[in-house]
Amino acid sequence: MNSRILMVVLLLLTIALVGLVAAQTSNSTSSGTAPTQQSSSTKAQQHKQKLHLPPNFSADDAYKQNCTRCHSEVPKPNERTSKTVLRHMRVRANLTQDEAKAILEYITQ
Amino acid sequence: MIRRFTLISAVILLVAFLANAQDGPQYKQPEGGAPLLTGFVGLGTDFQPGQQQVLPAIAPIVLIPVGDKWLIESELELEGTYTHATNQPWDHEWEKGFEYAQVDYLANRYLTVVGGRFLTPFGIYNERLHPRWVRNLQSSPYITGLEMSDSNGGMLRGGFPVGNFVNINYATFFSAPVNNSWEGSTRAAGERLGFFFTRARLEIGTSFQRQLQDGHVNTVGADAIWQSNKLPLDVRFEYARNRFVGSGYWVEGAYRMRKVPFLKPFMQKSQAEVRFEQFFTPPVMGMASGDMELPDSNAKRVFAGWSYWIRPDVRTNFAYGRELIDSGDHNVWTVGLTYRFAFPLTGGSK
Repeated sequence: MNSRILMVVLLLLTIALVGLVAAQTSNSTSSGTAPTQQSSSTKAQQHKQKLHLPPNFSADDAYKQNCTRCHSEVPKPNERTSKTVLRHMRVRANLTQDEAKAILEYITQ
Repeated sequence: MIRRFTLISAVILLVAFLANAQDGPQYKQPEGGAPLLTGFVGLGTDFQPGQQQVLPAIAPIVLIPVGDKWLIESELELEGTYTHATNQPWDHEWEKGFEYAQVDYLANRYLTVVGGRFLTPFGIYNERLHPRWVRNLQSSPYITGLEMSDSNGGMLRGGFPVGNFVNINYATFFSAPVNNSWEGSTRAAGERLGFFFTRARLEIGTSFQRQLQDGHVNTVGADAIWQSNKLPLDVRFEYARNRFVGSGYWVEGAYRMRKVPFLKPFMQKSQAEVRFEQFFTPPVMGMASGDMELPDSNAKRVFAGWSYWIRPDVRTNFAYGRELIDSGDHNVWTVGLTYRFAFPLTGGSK
């Protein structure tokens, strides 16, 4: 019984936090990113749209947001090794396919 | 039992293929990667009053990509414990076992189907932080003792963006009972659901697992990871509760010292870490904790540590901790060295 109450409380807390952060984030997105978007090249924008990534989201962002969230930077691997590591991390870290591609782009550049 | 397991496996595969069939426009996948041998070698020490331990470990991981959508991966972990107690000779034992031996099928952009033996998706420590080259402090938090570490069965997992500001990630699993010292597991089912706010660099997750043998018992959990956008600071938190075994939490902060204006060559490769944790025993001991390595009474522990990377793949760590527990408050000193390696097994020289 206590576990159920706790689960409900945790779920409500999560939803509340999701709403709070979502509200703050969407405000900051609308107010602070226009200059960045304007300065990006059309080609880069098209590439990001193809990858289903936000317009002001870079491969560098993908790496920093996902990889260093858990571990420190690792030595740069070669391209084929990177692809294997990325496939492994896509599963382990629940990356989306587009995030994995962006990270691969970052570490093989 | 076998029929039920086969049925569940069939359902999981069916879901995967249906999801694959419904996938939108297919992206051209990058060329397949090379098979890889990776993992770490580590040596740790743990000094407490009256007891000293040396803890060598090696954990080779083999990753074999097959085609565009499959990955076979396995980690064998060998952990030694050499213990010396006051007025006693050195004693030692080695734990051997497969951390995971799984087949992954990338069904579509948002779903991966996993079968075999895998790390149980509960909280953030077990799946993401437990390798010694990743963890900030040598000692595992108390509450990892009440979470299942490995499962044998099937798992569906993945992630998908919602708008431009949040990515949702999920994992749900079923585990069959296996009574084997190398790859044992409990009959259980569970899930973890995470929300990652990309701009805030904040992830919040909740976990649930239900043990389906020896009494049906629930374990619930919550976790969070936050990385500052302005400072090289990470904060991690995890909570878990099982009403028959206990509850607890840990919170950990890590500050990379690269912005410190003095001793730059040293500081740029250093990180300071602090962890505080508490464990609460249940009011009524409903189940024996067995080999869960949990404290016998309420306990709290604080650690302050320092990591230094000799090279990006070689990490040293030193930490001092103080444990406050009914059996006697005491100091804990740990020192560790880890080397993370990655070698292509074939065709990876390009």
